[in-house]
Amino acid sequence: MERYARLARQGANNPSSAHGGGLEAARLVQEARQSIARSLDCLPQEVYFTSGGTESINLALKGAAYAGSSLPKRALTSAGEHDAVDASLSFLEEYLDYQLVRVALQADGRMDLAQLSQALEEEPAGLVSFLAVSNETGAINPLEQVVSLVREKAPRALIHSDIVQACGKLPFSFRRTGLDMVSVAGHKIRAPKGTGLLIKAERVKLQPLFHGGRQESGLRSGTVDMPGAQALALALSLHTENLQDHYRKTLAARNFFLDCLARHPLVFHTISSAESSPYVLSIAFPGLRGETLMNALSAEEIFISTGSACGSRKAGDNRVLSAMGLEREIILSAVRISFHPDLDHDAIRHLADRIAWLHGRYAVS
Amino acid sequence: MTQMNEEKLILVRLGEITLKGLNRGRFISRLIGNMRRRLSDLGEFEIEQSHSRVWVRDGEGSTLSQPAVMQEAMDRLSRIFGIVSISPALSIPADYQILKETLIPYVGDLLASPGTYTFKMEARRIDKTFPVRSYDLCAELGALILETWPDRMKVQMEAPDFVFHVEIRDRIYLYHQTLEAAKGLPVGMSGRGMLLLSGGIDSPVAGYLMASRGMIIEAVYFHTFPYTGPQALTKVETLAGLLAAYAGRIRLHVVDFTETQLTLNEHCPEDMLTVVMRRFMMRIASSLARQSGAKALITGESLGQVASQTLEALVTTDMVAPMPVFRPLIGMDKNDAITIARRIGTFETSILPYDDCCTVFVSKHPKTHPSPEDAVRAERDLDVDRLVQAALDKVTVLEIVS
Repeated sequence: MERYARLARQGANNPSSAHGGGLEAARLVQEARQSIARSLDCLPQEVYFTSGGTESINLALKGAAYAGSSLPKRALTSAGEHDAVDASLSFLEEYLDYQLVRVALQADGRMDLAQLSQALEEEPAGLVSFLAVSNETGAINPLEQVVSLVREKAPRALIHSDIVQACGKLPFSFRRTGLDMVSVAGHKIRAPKGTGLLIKAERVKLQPLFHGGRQESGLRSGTVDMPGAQALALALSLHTENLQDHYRKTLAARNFFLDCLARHPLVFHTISSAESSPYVLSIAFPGLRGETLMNALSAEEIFISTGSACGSRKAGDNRVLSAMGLEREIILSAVRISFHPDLDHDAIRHLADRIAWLHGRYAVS
Repeated sequence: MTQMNEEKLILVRLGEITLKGLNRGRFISRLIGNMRRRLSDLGEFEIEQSHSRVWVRDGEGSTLSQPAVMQEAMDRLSRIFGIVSISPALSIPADYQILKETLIPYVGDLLASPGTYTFKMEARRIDKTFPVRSYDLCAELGALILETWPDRMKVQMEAPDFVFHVEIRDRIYLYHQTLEAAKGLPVGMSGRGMLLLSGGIDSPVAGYLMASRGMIIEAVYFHTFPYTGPQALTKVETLAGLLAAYAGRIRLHVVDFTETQLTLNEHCPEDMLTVVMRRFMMRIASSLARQSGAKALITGESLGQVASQTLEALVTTDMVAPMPVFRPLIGMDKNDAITIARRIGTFETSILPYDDCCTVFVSKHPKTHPSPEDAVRAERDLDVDRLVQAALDKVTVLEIVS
């Protein structure tokens, strides 16, 4: 954030301009591109700056569908995707006559590979999109395994992965996974809101969504946000450098939290499996609605989310948790807690204590 | 301001029937007071009454000549009860030549987009010393318009596109637009009522309907934090604000109802929970009403709509209210309530999902025909007075303006 503020203050030069200030801005964008390429193990020319995860996902999926008129009009995805993927593919279903198949989730929240394999065999697929780490449960899909499965059964299909929750938190190499496209949101790794990345293999052709000044090799017109690009590159490299250390500390924090909870006479149900990303914990406290717990903790300046986001849906209506086959009572009482490496033991113990106390006070049978 | 040649102003028409009788003076002064208050932050206006009309003119520092100010003033006036309709008008000196010179650009402005239109003239000569009679005014001015736009304007008596009104008084008033306003009686003519305001569709409509009969509205909202979140309270504040655009300033009493709710949940039979909860809301609302000088309660209930709105349930809840309970929606179809909610602008807020989340305390199988004895039995283990007092001790009052 500091680098962003400093560069934003420095001036308003357009990196596409030919004058001195513009050239300097262009150099800084290029530097950011190279740094990001190192962090994600891809080529600098495969890095495209966007306004966030949602734009990247829209560009990847719609851009592929509009560019690839010879692609089979069949898209495979999982039932556990973020809305940005689900809604973009629904758009293709509605306006470009795509057939959309949502592969079921297993009880641990991961995509059911046997079902995916079956769906791939039924009919040729043109697009496959699945997330790396579930934003709801932290469940980790095996990227390389999925890619090799798709390549074997549907060699023409383009594969996109929403790695928003994985980027900077779990080891990731664009080259090694063999994916065609991945989407990244800057604010999830503490870069400014309004920054994002699409990583796209050179062989993949996309139709741009924005037309204009042909920035970003014509794929994303619009003046590049140089301070945002720099800040994102820095945030990503810091995350990547410290990835192992952060992971270890976050895992310890999550496990310590579960230990603290276990010391209370409290019934809880961990929805996230032990193998899932430690950064997201989905957990239910039957008898106490997720929303009630969220409201009560929020009044104490502790911020968690519900499993069933109340603002947008009816209570108990959660697409992803339902797809995991969970009962309504569990879904209603589910919350999502984010962990990060800097959480100290006192804060974690306090959270567990507060949850136990609030459960005693507000749970109703 | 009468020395000005041309002046933009608003013509306000009042309900004629209610103007008869001894209440007339009270009616008008209350209405003008309400108008003054509602327009106060737009500038200082001169509001004067003559016969069955009220004129709103520019005073010090207000500018009805600016379209945005005119539009906002019209919008606010259209929501004031007691006003039947309003027209933005142009006033000019009482001179026939000036009238003719003004009419042509006035009509010309309306013909900016291409096409042909129909019109008719309506003239009223209140000042009988004016040299041209109404009939001749219509004929001559109509002819003038036809001469100016022979291909685009046509006279039509039945439902024309424009009706140009010319009124000859101390000055000449010209207008062609009439907007329906809220009608009803000025707020303040009919005492004060305490509205049980939830986040739903019906209760804001009930408050609107009672305010339209001249009632000052106070509101009470039962907040069950953390079962309902801060958004639920914000939503109710928003609804009260939308209602205040019609009813004027509203005092909103927010009752911290969580403790009461938990106690009821623990000590009441599950099938009587909703009715007993409604009875406690009635008791608390009645106490608040008495404290604020309100002489009636208002609810959005409609007969048979849900289990707590059967005749038996209503009788059972009314037994604990020591004052009349007005239910203006009692015989209304849900769709008609929704139509009103849409018209007054509360519908979109009412259907936000925040209160759906608090279905925690709803009985799964409520008793639909509870008897008063059932209710008394269900409350047997409760210290009613103490619970009511405890809730009354935890009330926050918010002043809501539109």
